[in-house]
Amino acid sequence: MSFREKIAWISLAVTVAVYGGYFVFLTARGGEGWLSDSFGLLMGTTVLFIVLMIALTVVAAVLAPADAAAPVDEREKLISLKASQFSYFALSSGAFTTIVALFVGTDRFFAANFLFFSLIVAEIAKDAAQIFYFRRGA
Amino acid sequence: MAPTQVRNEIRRLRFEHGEMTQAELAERIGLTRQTVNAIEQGKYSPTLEAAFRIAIVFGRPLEDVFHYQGE
Repeated sequence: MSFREKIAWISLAVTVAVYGGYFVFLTARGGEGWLSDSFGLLMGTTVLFIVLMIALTVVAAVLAPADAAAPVDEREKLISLKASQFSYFALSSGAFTTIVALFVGTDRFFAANFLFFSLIVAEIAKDAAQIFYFRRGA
Repeated sequence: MAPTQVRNEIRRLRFEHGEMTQAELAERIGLTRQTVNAIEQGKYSPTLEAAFRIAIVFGRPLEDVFHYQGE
């Protein structure tokens, strides 16, 4: 498995675990104003995401220093570009839906979290597509 | 994803050149070992530049290394 595929797996796992937990926690609370105080939670989970990504990337690099030091090659660049198409579709769909929701008077905290959810879906789509192309060919 | 229509003789040529490993070939042409493996298995068609670099490593013309099998 190449270093970039490992990073895609790490990113997918950390994104699903950390932000999956964030959204499960947020929706489980429910009730009036359930999203109004989610900013602190969002910042906390983002810090946790960054710390986990850095730590696991360092571990992966230490375990395979030669792979980590190798520059990105043409196939890896192509895979990244192809995967970005899925990411762009997910994010643009979410952004457009959020804009429409705001125009019809949706609560701004709900809109902010829906937009953030779209960002997470986009990231998951990119990681999953990268893994697919690494496994099946690009 | 459909496999590429480009076939190649890289595996045979590696063994004819002192049983060169995929990693050694990858290092000489500036690709990762996984990409060399993907090319060998017909899962990825290299750029023209990479194809020339591979052919140069083996000292063979491009058409001795790669064959197009499409219609």
